[in-house]
Amino acid sequence: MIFDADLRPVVDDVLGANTDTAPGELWALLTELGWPVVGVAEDDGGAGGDLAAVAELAAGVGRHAAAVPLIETGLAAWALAAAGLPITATAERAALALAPTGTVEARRDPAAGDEAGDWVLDGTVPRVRWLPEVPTVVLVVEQADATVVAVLDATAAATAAAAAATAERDLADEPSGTLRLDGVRLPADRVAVAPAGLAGDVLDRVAVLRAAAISGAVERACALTKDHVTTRQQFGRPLSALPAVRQLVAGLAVERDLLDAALTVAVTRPGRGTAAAVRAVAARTAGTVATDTHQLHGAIGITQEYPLHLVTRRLWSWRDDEGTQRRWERLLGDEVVRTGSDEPLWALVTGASV
Amino acid sequence: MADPHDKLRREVRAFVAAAGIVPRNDSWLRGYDPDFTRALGRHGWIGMTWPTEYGGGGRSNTERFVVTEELLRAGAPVTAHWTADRQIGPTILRVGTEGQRAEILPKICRGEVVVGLGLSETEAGSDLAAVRTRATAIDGGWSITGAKVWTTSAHHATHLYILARTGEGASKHEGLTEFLVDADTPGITVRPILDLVGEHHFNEVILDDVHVPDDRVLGTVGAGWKQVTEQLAFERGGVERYLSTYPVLAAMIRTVARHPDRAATERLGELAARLTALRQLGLQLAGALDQGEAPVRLAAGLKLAGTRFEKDVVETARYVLDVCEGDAEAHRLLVDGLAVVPGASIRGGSSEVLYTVISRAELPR
Repeated sequence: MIFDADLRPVVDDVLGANTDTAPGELWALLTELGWPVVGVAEDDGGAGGDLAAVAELAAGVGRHAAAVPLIETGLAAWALAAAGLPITATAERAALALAPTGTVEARRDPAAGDEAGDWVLDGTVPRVRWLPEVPTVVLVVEQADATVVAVLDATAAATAAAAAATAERDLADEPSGTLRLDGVRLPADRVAVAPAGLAGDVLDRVAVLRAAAISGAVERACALTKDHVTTRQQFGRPLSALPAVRQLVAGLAVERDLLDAALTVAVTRPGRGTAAAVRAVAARTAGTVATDTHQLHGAIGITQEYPLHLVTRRLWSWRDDEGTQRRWERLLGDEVVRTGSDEPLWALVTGASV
Repeated sequence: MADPHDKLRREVRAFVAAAGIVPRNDSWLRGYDPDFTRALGRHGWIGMTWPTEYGGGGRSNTERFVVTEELLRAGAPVTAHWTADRQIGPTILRVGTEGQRAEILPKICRGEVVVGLGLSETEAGSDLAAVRTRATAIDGGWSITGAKVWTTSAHHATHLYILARTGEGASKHEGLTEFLVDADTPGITVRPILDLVGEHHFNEVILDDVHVPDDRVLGTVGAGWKQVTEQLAFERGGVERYLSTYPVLAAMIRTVARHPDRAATERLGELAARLTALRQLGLQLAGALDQGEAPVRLAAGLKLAGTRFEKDVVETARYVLDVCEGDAEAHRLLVDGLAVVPGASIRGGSSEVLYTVISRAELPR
């Protein structure tokens, strides 16, 4: 999938050439390129660029199995800018914690007196990707009438969180910690109250970028598989001569095409429905592709030395972030049955506004 | 953001609503209604993409795509012109003579041409190049003898498209030629083949020394295989490859809205997500056709995944109409849809053939 034809070769050059670079060094390079803040307007301190450009970066993270919080930092910066907060706090890498309604309480401290702007946070957000390795967490708290966005120092303000999270790593061996907020106090300049719709907008963006990352990992898994079945010889000929192998490879290509198509819709017609659709498709595709590419690789695919696991483990991990396909499908289903006619479905599918 | 085709959509919807259609699944194959077809022709919705000098609309494939998806959404009876509009007209435009274009295309646009597609034979199904129907050169034309099967609408046809062998080559793909034969030519016999629920849509067509003038050859003698392969991009890549059971999907939505159920809602969400992806692929295909491409590989993928989706719609409906108490109309559509499903992944290229087409592109030998 090509989201941004100019950017893609640069992404391949940079991420492809630095797969063994130390994370800190790679991050410095990415920062120099301005990639963590692509998608954030220049006026807000970002590097500019549309959703397609950010998706291209996310796909690159998937394609090259880059172990850097590029997607999450970009999301954190975008959420801060959208809430009117400065994005500088994300400069040294950041995590994004999404707290659905009722999971985190964010209130102004009545005891603060003159410091009436102080905030107190209580609650838990599980599986926050890159916590506690990154210094900053941007917390997005969904409330009935507003979205509260807060910048937390992941190493100090949420000490308990950091301590509790150290042992947690995801299937791809990347950090993914629980954010525990037990009366954490924040000064008013680290919190913003934004419109209620922002939490949903952030989630939509997460969904699309996660799907883009999945598409990158899918592309790599399929490319490795094509190489393997055309070079590996069995029964005196390449695996790719076997009809059963050929059929599985063809099926993978179709799955990939469908995911790319759903991504195209989500990037060109951004919205709640198209984001949920692509995220649901991505989760299903991730599972199918991981299963079938492993099957086609045989035993070599399940070894540490062969690179397939770098992408399949990410597929398994990413597809369940922010919920499995069923969560997104329920969201979409609720939208589709909303009126009792097929109008909402037809509008989702075709983009028709009538 | 307004969709640029909203006005066109509104026109089609108004027309469809006024026609008072009883929706059917597979309405592009099981919905023969010549009056409806002629009315569509009067609106300029047949041959939409063809040059205006031949009666066409001079519009884009994307606009045609919008019209066809609105028609299938409604389950409208569009069989009478479907094959002519979808693939025979475009074939005539691509490879036909000026005379053929001037004579036939305006009639198709008016909804006066029904084409029966004579590709398959008893010994040439998925292995299409194995056709044995033979055309022998005679004075001023050809004599065609052979038999075609599964020819949809042959009993209504004004024209029969016939793929016949005109010579032998090193491979069976050589020596094939396409013809467009007037259906009332002496020597043609049409016999019904009833489908599994007893409906008459397809036929056997016997050709016995059918004399066809030279000007009924489509394109180049002997180049039939290349031409037919390109034609299949049109045949496989349309909205009918994933919308054939859309009326069942719409019935499910009505049902779940009345009797909410979480699991049923999730399943509808799954289908909605998949349909979003499929429709985008279809749109991309229409765009590729606008660029003058014949995207054979992409079309094969769309048909493969699209017919799987059509099947899953019907299978999901069994469950949803059960737990959410679907009404009589919903059940009528489900039964109607069940009869469609087994043929969908066979006609126009079986899924097995499509896998082969795709794997050839993915893994060139």
